Amino acid sequence: MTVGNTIYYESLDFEKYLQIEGTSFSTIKGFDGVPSAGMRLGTRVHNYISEPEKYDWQQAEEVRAIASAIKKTVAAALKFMKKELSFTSDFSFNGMTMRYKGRADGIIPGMLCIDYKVLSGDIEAACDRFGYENQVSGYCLATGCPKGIIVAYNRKIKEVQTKVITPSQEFWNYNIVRYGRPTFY
Amino acid sequence: MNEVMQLTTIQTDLPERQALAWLALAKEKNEVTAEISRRELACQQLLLPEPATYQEIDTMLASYRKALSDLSDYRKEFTNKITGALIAPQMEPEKRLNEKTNPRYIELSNRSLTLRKDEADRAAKVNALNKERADFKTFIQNEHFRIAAEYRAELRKSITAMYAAWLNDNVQEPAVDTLADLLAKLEVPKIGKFTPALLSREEMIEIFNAIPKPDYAGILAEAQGSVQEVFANYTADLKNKEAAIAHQQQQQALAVQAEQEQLAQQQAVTTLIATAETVTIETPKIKKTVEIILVESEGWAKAVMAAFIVNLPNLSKYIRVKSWAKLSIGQMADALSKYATETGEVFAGLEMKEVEK
Repeated sequence: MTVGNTIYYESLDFEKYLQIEGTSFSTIKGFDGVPSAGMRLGTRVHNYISEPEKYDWQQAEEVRAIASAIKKTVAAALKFMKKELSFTSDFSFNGMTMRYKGRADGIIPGMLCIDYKVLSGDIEAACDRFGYENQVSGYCLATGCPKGIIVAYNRKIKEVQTKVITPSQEFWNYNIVRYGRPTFY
Repeated sequence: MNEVMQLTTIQTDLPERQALAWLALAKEKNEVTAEISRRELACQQLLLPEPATYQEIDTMLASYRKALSDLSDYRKEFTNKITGALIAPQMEPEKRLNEKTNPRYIELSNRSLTLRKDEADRAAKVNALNKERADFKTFIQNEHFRIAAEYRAELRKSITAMYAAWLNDNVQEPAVDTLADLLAKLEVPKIGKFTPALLSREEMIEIFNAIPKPDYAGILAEAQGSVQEVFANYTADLKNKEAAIAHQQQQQALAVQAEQEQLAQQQAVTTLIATAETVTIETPKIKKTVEIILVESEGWAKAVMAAFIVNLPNLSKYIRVKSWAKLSIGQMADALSKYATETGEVFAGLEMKEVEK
């Protein structure tokens, strides 16, 4: 797999990010439905941490507690992170190329990217079920980060759990072939 | 006899004596029900006449109360038999099995608590060791970053200092070649001290050796290589020493500042990764609650009521009563205990105990 033509989009609204051409992890997972209560809470936490002006101040007590726990874990690295940074890259494999797009919660390009999650249970179970490692691997591959970290708040035990991701290409190679176009076009 | 025959025919698995007893009970129930209905009507009849005086009214009401009381006594004669012979014996097993009084349950519960505490202690020790391992690894990595940054800054500072000194002394032909040797004599800063609480010396050495060290020789060679670049305009700078020195110092300050920012970033990222990688063993759950110690005294009851009233705005989620009129002091104490468990609140005049489950 090769990665090229990475472009960063600073200060890009989520709505505008959705309009960028490219295949994201969410595109591949194909979620299309009404967000659940848990997903809405996750969005609120994301907004509160990264785009506070978008936070609607619902579930404030829980949202702020979760945000504090996440920020405490990320600690000093937070101030070096670019928040909600969008990017696109050309992922190529076996003669096929796919325009990839991603949006990381926090990133120091070339060093580290992080993704926040609010989970109803254990991080390992959620990763097994939803393949979050592949999501973070996509961020890492596009931005040249040797490591990514999932920082997840487990609502069951009310604690932050973390998982360090060393990017894997396997999932993306498969999807380049599936969603990409012949490179020579 | 026919009724008994019919019953025993239907319930063939019932012993005859038991079938007869149930039949007798059914018959008695019917008789009692009929009698109660008759007495109820009689009671109501007592209030029907239109009395003329309050004395007549009071006599009627007294008769009514007496009849009602007799009705109640009559009913209890029958229902107490059922309670005593049927309901109470059926509830006995629940009483014997109650988790708060069953000795075997209590013994097992205590044993579970002891085992969970032991397991939690073991897990805490492992977690503490894992954390110290991660802390030490982070410490070494960050020290390497710091030392490399300081070494670079020191080399740069020395070059700038010599540059300024030679300019100030009007040295026309500075011995630039000797500067490389001077730089080589500069010592690499020492690594800081880490005080272990759990790690063995052998393991610390192993961790230390596993972490790549900065390329100090490369840093020195880079600094030595930069000397020619710094001194490239020396002859021209002699004509304008102060400005040249100021410029060089400014360049050095900017470089140091950039390096410090890079250092802070590297250290923050290293620390975050190490924290995220630290393996934490899940500890068994030990539920800790706080309970108000019950004291059978008027003073205790007053203290509970006072604390309840003071904290009432915060207690609503702990109070589960169908009727506020029946809220007991025991229930108030329970609500306060739950509140104290959650918040750590203490109440004047009430002693608390911590309970582990």
